[in-house]
Amino acid sequence: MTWAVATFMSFSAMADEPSDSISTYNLEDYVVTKRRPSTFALSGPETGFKVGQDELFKAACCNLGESFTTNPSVDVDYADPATGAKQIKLLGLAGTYVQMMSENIPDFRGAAAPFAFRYVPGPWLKSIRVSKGASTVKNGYEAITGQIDVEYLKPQDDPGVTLNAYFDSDTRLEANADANFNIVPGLNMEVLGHAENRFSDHDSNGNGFADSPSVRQFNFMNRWNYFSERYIMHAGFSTLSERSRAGQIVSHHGHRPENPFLINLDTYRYQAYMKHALVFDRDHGTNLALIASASMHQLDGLYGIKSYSVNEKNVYAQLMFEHDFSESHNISAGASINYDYLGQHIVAPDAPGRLRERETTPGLYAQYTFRLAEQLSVMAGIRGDHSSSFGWFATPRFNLKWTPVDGLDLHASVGKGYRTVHPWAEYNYLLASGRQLVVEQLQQEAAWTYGANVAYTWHLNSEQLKFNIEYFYTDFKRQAIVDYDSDLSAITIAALKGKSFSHTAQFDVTYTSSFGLSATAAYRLNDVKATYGGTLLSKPLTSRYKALLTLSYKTPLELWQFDATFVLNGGGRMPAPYRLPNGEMSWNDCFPAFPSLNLQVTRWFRHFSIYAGGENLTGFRQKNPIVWASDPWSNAFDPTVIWGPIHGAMAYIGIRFNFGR
Amino acid sequence: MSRIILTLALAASALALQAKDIQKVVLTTTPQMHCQKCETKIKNQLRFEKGVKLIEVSIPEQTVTVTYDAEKTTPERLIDSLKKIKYTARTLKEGEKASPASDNSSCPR
Repeated sequence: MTWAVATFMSFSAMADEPSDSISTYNLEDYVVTKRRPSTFALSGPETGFKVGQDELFKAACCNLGESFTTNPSVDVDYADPATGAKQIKLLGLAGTYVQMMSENIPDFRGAAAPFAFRYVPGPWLKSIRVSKGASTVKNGYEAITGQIDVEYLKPQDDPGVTLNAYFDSDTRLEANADANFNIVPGLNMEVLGHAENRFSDHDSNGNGFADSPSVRQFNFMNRWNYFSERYIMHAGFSTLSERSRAGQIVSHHGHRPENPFLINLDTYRYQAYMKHALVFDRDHGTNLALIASASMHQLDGLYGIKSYSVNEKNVYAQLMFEHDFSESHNISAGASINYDYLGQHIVAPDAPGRLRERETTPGLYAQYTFRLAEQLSVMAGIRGDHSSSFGWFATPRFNLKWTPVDGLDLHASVGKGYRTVHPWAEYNYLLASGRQLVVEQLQQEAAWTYGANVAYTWHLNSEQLKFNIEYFYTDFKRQAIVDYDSDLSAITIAALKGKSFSHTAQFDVTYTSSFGLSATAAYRLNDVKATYGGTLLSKPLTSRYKALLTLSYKTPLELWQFDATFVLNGGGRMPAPYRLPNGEMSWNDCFPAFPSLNLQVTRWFRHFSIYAGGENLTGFRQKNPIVWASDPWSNAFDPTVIWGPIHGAMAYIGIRFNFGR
Repeated sequence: MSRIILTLALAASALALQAKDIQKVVLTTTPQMHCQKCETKIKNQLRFEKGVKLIEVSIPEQTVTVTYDAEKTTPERLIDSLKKIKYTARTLKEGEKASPASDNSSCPR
């Protein structure tokens, strides 16, 4: 028993550190060699998990969205064929309710939100931290269903260069590079680069429309890190340029239309950040930190005859003080300010034309954490913010973790979150629909999220079996809902009048062996409802359940790795259908359950590795994803109602080179 | 016909297994291994060496136990390989214990 306790404690203590896959512990007379899971629970009072690089290598993970392919908690929506907008869902709710962060700085807000998950190249990722439900108040008030914090490769990582190239059967070619340099002791620099392009357009269902946009993207980031005994600095800047072309860009029965319906998106994003920390007392963790970031996001979108342009500017600054009074008592307090400006030009029926949105939100917060050895940790925080648009509001959050017996963790959390909606910026991709996009007067969104979770980890020699069961409930007090149901000729972004909530319950079990095999089986039930036109209905295009099975095997020397992911997505409600000009209905009332299978094999060599695999190997496809594709200029046309894959099976191959590492 | 093929395949497998001279060597290093990074670095260096079958590292015991095919590599080759990542290694005799892990060691860069 003693060794089991010690193993667990060692595991917990390291749970938040970047992982290598194998650890050895000496416990009294025992020497235990164990493989650490590639996804592991957060060690503090928050409920959530951290995805390490080992997990990211289990799939192609070309970008952040695809990094969740093997994860039971996060759903990745299928991209719509018009714009490629691809969102994730956490706790059954849209990605907009997850606070996106890059290394603890809020990121990818407003116009960047619908496409954020393709702006972060997978090979740049070191880890992803997902916090479910109420999280810390340090990073602001926006997290409603949780936080996703992306950790990029670090400037202080081992000096060297890594190159990655990827090619798939849809003719998408990607190239990534990262290089680290130790300039002088304590000062490190990193360069990250990404380029992707597609060389042909596919129309596998023969409707005259490209199945997915042809995206050409260039992405660059430069990061610096300096550390000394009393001062730590991180800084960097990034640029992104993306060109997306979709619509009638493919030949249909040998010819192209004279007046094709085109969906063109041109994006330019510039971003810079800095973090400074003064360390006063290492023994008590006393430090003062300043975090600041600024970004400019320009999007020029054309959707047939409609267009949307936005110039979005954001400035964020945070001053944070932290101190451990003792091993048990920690306080964190600070102030922040967030400024958003969106200069927009919308050309669409009944659209406002020019529209400027400005909001400045200064705020103060305090958070207290109590720890009683390894048995109990409690985190309670509150923040007060003042929005120039919505006035004062308070954000209380509470998280608790209790370990009554070895291996058993109980979590509970409750907290409130708020979000300012920028409807045209966040839902501009809906302009591709032939239906009119109507935006009502909206309030700031507000919701409470409650969560509970029980996890038990069982160690047998060097093997580990982990059971997890959790439940989350989100209750919206104010919400902007996307209403396809009330008016069949329009898509309305409406203020919620009535109830809106999400219940999710999940059970998962993970087995990690000492001989290279790991497996996860998970099942989640979603009950997500909102009031549409006075009627409480299930949220459309949301699966009622998800079942997932992942298997991974590494040979003893980890020269070969085999990964398989099988997902069964439960069916769900479709929005109210409308009658097409030919008399048929636009779609059925419900969409069916469908399976998906991904396989990958990786071979590691001393200075390079090769991976090859296939996605959606069940070949399941949503039939007629573009409604009334024969006449995209009509009101009946709609490419935005997507619930399943549009592509059939896809194969890919990639190679990674390491130099000097 | 299929029986003949099966018999031949089994005989070939048995011969292949017999031909292998699988041995085990226990190494200890200077500087000492003191963290996960050291362990990973040593494993990454050795696992691509020809003939290596299994590597077990114990930081508390300061040992690197390598199972290898003696027809394809030797302990000397493994020690030479570790020199490339700035670790000097030596074999431990049977029953010999390495110096216990100390805190003042550091990873070679």
